[in-house]
Amino acid sequence: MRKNIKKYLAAFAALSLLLTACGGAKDAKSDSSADTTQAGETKTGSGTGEKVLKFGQANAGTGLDMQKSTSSGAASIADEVTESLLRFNDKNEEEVVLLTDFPKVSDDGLTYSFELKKGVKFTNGVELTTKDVQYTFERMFTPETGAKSTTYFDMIKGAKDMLAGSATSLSGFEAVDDYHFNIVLEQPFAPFVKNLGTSYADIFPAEATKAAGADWGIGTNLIGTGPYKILSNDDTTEVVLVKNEDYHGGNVNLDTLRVLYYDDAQTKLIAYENGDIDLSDLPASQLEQYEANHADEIKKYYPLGTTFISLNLKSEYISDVNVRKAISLAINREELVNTILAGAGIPATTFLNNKIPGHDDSLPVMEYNPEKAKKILADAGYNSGINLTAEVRDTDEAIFNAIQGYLEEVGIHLEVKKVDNATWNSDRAAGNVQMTGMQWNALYPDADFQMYNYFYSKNSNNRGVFYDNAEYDKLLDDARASTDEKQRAELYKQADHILTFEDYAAIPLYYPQSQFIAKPFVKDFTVGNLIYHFWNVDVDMK
Amino acid sequence: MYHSDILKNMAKNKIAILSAMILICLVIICIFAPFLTPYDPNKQALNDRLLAPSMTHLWGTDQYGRDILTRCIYGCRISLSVGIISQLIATFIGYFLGVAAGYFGEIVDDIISFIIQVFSSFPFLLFAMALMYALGAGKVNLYLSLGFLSWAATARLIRSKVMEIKNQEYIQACKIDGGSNLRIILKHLLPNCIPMLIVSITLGIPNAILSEASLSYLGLGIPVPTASWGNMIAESQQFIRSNTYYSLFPGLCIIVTVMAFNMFGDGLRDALDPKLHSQKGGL
Amino acid sequence: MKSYIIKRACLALGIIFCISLITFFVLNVIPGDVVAAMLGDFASKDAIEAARAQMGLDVSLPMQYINWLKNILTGNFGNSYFQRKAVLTLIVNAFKYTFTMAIAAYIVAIILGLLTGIFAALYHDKLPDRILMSISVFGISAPSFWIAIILQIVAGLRLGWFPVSGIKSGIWWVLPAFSLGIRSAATIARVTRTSMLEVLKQDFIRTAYAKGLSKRRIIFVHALRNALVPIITILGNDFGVLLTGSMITENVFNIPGIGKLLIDAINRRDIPLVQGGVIYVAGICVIIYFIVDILYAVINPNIRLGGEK
Repeated sequence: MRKNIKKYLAAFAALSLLLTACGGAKDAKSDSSADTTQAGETKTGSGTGEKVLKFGQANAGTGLDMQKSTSSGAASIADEVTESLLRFNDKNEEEVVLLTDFPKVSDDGLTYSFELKKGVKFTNGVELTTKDVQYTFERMFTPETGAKSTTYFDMIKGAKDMLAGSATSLSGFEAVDDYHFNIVLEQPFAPFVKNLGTSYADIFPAEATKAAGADWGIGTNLIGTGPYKILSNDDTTEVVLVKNEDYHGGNVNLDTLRVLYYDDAQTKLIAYENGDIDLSDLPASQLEQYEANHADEIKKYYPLGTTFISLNLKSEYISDVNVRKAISLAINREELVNTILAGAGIPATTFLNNKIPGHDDSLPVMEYNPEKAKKILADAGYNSGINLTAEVRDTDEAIFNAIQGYLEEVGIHLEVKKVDNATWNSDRAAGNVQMTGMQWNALYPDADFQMYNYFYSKNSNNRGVFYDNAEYDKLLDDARASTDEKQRAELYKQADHILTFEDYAAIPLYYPQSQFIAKPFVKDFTVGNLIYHFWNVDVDMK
Repeated sequence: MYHSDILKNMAKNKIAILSAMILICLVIICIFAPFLTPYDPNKQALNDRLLAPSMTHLWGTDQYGRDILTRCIYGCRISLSVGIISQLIATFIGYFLGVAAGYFGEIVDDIISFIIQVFSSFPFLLFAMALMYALGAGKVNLYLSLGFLSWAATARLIRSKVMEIKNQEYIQACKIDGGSNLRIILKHLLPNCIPMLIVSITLGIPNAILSEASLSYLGLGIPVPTASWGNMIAESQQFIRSNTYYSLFPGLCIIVTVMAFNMFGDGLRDALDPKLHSQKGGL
Repeated sequence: MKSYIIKRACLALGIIFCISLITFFVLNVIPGDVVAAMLGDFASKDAIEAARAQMGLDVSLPMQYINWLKNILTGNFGNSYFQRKAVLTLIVNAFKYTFTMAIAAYIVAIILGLLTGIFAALYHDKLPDRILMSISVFGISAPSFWIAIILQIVAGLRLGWFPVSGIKSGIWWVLPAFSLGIRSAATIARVTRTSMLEVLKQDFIRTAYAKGLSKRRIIFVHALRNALVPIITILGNDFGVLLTGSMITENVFNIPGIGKLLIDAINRRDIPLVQGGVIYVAGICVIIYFIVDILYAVINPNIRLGGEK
C-alpha cells in the first residue's frame, strides 16, 4: 500500500515537472523570438538606423483575408501587404495602383476595360497577370470561400450564378491577354470603379492562394504586391511587417512596421504613454485628457460617416412621423458634441455626410427646440408622455445616456438597454430594436454607400428599419444608373431631403471626428477615412 | 445561555465589533440614501463633468456630471441587496441539498455529492457570464445567477455537519418515535445548522459582491444608468489617468464593505463555533 | 487505495461530462444569432440558412450535442467560428500563457502567504499579527481587476518599475502575478496562521522545545508540515479560480490567455470555442482536484475510503 502511494507521488511529481518543463521550453522560444524583434526596436533611436514603427490596435481576430473580413482593423494590416487595382488615398481621392490608368467604360456603362501595369511582382517573386485578377474575383464568388462583401461586386455578370453554385467561372470576366481584361456588368452601376478601390477587391496571387487554401490570411499566409510583406504573425499578439524592397510604387521609408494587438483600449493608451507603441487610435472619450497633456500628439480626421439614431419605423409610437420629429427637435446636437464627445464631431445638418457629393451645404445644424417638440407631441395627442426603448451597443452607450436626458425633458421616457454585439445583431435582424445608435461610414465619398446600403427599401428591411418610400428608392435607382456625377449629386440631395426632413426616417446626430495619437517622431502619417495606411509614413529618429 | 455566550465571545473580538458597526452604518446609508444627499444619482449635468472633489461635490463628479458620492451611496444598495439576496437563495438550495445528502445517505448522497462536485468545478465567472447573457443583465437576474452558482460550498458544509449529528441519540429517538423526515430536518437538524448557515451567508456575501462587481465591470451585471460599484469602476477606468479619484472611490467602497463582511463573518464563526474554522474551503 | 482512485477517476469523468452537457445547453439558450453575426451585414436569409446547414446547426439541439460529443471523443474540438482556427490549437496556445501566469501568481501567493502566516502566528495577538491579518483581509476584499488597474497605473506607468502590459520575459509577469496572487496569498496566510497556532499549542512542540531544538527548525519542520494539508487544499481550489478568474486581469495586462480568449468567445457567441474552453478548463480543474484528493488521502490516510471527511 505504502509503496503504491509512493509510485503515484513519483508519477505526479514527474508529470508536474514535465508540465513545467514544457511551459518553460515554449516560453523560452517565444522569448527569443520576441528578443530578436525587440533588438531592432530598441536600436531605433541610434546605432543601426533601422526605421521601426510600432502601431497598436485591437485584434480583429478575423484573419487578414479581406474577402473574409469586413474589419477596418484587419484592413489596416492587409492593405499594407495586398493591394487592389485602385485605391483611395488619404485625401479620399481614388488613384490607380496596379493599373496603367483608370479603366475605360463603354458607352452603355456595362463594359470596363483594364490594363495592368507590367512588371509588378508579388513578394514571392511571381509577376502579377490577368490570371491573378480573374482568380481573385472567381474565388470571391465561390460559395465555399465564404466571402463577406460580395454585394459590392455581384453586379458583375455571372457573379450571382457563381454565388448560387450554378456556375464555376465568372462569365463577366473577359481575359484578353496577360495584361488586359474586361469586366462586364449586368446593369450600369456608377460606383463600380470605386468599389474596386476598396480592400475587399485586394488582388491575390493565384498559385500561392490556392496552396494556402483555408489558411489564406492566417499567420504569414498573405502575399501581395504591397509595400510591406509579413515577417511574422502569431494572430494574437503581434504582426511584424517588413519593407518590400522591390515595391512597384517606389521606395518605402520604414524598415519594419510592428502591429501590436491591444484589445483593451485603456491598456493600449497606457502602453502608448509608456512608449511601448508609437501610434494608436484615440477614442473620443479620451480626447479631453489628451488635449490637456499631449495636445501636439493628437491628429484629427473626419471619416466619411454619420452617427444617427436608427429607428424601427414599424414600432409603436415611432411609426408616427410626429414622434420622430419631436425626438429630433428634443436633442441639442451642439451641446452633445461639445460635452459627451468633447468636440469630436460636427453637429449634423442632414443625414448625408458633409464631405460626400450630394450633401446640401446650405443647411444649418438640425433644430433644437424642446418647446416645439412638446407642442408637436401634444398636438398629436401624446399628452401623458410616451415610453420608448433603445437597445444600444457599448460604443453608443454614452451618447444614448445623454439622449435619454434630452428626451425626458419633452416627456419621452427612454429606456436604454445596453447589449453586446451578438445580441444586438440578432435582435436587429429580427426587427426587435426600436431605437439604436449607428455610425454608418462610407468606404469612399459617394452617397450611394450611405443612402442605398442603409435606407433603400430592400436593405432597410435587413437592418430592421423598414423604411419604404418609392420616391426615395426611385431617386437612388436613377443615381446608380447615371454616370454624370453632377446629376447624381443632385438626385442624392433630393433623396436626402426626403429621408431627413420629410420622413424623419433617421435622426442624424453628428458627423464623427476620429483621431489618433502619434509620437512626435512619426512623420507624414495621415488617415483619410477608416483604414490606417502606412504607405508614406516615416520615422525621424535623431 | 447559548446566545449570551455568543455575545460574550463576540464582544471580546474588537475587530468584529468594528465590522458590525460598519455594516450597520452601511445598512442605514442604504435605507436613508435619498435623505443623505441632495443629488439625484442618475440626473445628468453635462456642464459639471469630471469635477475634482470639492465642498459641493465631496467626491467629485463623473463624466455626465453626476455626483460620485451620491452614486456610491446608491451603489451600496445594489451591492448589499445582491450580496444578501443571492446568498439567501444559495443558502436555501445549499441547505436542502446538503441535508438531503447527509441525512438520507446512500444513493441520494451519491447523486447530490456529484452535483455538488459538478457545481464546484464550473469556471464560476464564465458561467455567471453565460447565465447573465441567457437571462439578460439586471438586478433580479443577478440575484438568481449568483445564488444558483454559489450554493455548493454551503451544501458541502451542511452535508458533513448532518452526517456528524444524525446518529446522535435524540435524533435516533425521534425517528423511532415515528417523527417524519421533514419534521426531523426542520425541527432538529435546522437549529443545529443555523450557526453554520449564518456564517456561510456572512462569508458568502462578500464573494457575491465581488462577483457583481466583476460582472458589472464586464457590462453584464447592473445596467447603466443605475449605479453599481462595478459599473462605476468600469466607467471610471477611462479617466483613471487624469481623474484617479473617480476609480478610487467605488473601489474603496467595495473593499470596505467586503472587508467588513469578511471580518464580521470571521468573528461570528469564531464566536459561534471555533471548530468550524478549519472546515471552510475543503473540497 | 486503487479502488478509491478508480472511483474518483470515474467520478471525474462524469463531472466533465455533466459540465459539457450544461455548458452546451446554457450556451444555446443565449440570445444572439452567431451565423448572422459571422456572415456580416449584407448576408441574405438564404446564405444564412446555407451556412447554418454547413455548420451542422440545422439539426436538433440534442443531435448537435451528440455530434459534438462524438467529435470530442475522437479528439476533435471543432473550429472557432470567427478565428478560423482549430479550437484546440487556440486553447492550447492561450493556456500556455495562463498557465505561466497562474504559476507566477502561485509563487507570489505561496511566498507571501507563508511568510505572512508564520510571522503572524509567531506574534499571535500582538500588533504585527493584527496588522498582517488586517492586510490579508484587505487582500481578500479587493476586486482583483481593481488591483490590476491600480497596479498598472501606479507601479507600471507612474513609477515605471514594471512593464505596463505584455508578456516578453520574467519581469513582465510581475504585475499580473501580484494582482492575481494577492487573494490566494491572503487566504494562505490566514490558514497558515491558524494551523500553526494549533500546532504550536500541542504537546510535541513543547517537547521539541524542551529537547532544545531550535525555534526555526520547529516552525519549519514540525509546525509547517501540519499546515500543509489545508494549504494544498487551497492551492488546489485556487488553481481553478486562477485559470478562469484571471479573465479581467488578462484583459488589463493584454495577455492572450485562456480567460481573455473565452471572454471574447462568449461575447461573439463562438460556441465551439467556449464549449471547448470550458471543457478544457473544467477538465484541468477536475484533474487538479483529483490529485489534491489523492495527495490528501496520502498525507492523511484516515479520510481515504468512502470519500467522507
